Amino acid sequence: MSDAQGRGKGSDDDRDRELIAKWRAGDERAASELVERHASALARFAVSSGERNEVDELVQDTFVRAFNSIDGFRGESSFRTWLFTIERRLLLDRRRAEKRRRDRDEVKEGDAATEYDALDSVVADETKIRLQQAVERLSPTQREVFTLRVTEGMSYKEIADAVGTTEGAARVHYHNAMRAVKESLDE
Amino acid sequence: MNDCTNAEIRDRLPELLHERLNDGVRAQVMAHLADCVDCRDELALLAEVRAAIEARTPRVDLNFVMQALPKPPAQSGHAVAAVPGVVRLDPRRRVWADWRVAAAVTLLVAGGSSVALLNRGPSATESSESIRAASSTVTASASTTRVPDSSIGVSSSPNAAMVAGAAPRTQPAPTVHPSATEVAATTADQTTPAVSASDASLSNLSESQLKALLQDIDKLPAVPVAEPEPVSLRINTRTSGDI
Repeated sequence: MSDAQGRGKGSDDDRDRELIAKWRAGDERAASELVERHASALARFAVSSGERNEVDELVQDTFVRAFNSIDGFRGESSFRTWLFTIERRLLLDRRRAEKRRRDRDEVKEGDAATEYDALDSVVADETKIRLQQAVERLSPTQREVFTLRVTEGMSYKEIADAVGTTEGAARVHYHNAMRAVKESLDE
Repeated sequence: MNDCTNAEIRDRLPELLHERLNDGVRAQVMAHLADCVDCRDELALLAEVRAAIEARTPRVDLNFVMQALPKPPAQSGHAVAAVPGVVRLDPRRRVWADWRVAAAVTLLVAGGSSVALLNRGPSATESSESIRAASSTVTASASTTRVPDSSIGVSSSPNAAMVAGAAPRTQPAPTVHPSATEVAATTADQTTPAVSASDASLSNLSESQLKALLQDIDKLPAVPVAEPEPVSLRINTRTSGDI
């Protein structure tokens, strides 16, 4: 079952490469189509990674950085995986900057979480809140691997490329995350 | 919620959720699901997690994202070969190239004008006119600047061209006074060639003619401004009888 992924994946990658080539040749509409194809996935990854504010800005920054360094994309992974790699670096930068600001302003971390939970309770039912909380309790790496696997259906190889780990480690992170989520729901 | 012992099938559940399994693998997974309640529960959990994250994700403003995107390389002026073998220069490089060409042309024009002005300086004009007035009988072709040394007995004439006014002012001061023949040879008056240095030697002149010539030469202003070194003319008038 090593070659299980065969439906749609290759054609998606081919279409991405085709659009990149068009954009390089001067077709701005190709960039629009690339944004349409991947913006939602980037937003999901941002939210599931704990980003709560300015998701649009993060997605925008990801695409700007990607197009500015498009020569660095050599097609060794899919374009979406490469975008996740960029977004992940931006997320880490944001968290570092936010931590410095928080340390400086001496704001308690629980305040933001309380505000977020209250907002979510308006728009989501209890099951979804429990699932979200279960995912939030995962370690950062487990959460990244789990959400990329569950929400995007990415292979372990793609996840390993995106988060900078090995395929085997990604598999272990996924199964540990799944066990932790189940335990959290059983409490 | 329990875990199924078939880890291989469990590993495929997210891909089944996203419809990314090929037909053969998908059939195997579906067959397992029909008999495994734990895997069905896990698949349902995955679907709920996915739905929960999607519900939490705000809709991305695509126009906002696109407005900040950079222009494609082919539109931003970088070196892109629109035609094979032809590379467009960056506009900044083109401006610098234009400046270099303009500076080179200006330098050439200014330098050429300076040289032309020096060559047409007043000293040259004055000396030519003085020479022409003084030696009305002795002229020479402008193209002939050398007179056989055996006939005039003077030192070699590296200053002949300067006497004619062709040398720039920056030329070093002459060390040898120009001889009469040099002056005559470099005087450009071809209309009345009484004696041509190219086809007639001074030795053909009579004694009286030579004396008159020497007197005329003595009246000439010193062409080199610098103080000349004494020079001894070896033209021996007493030998003119040999002529």
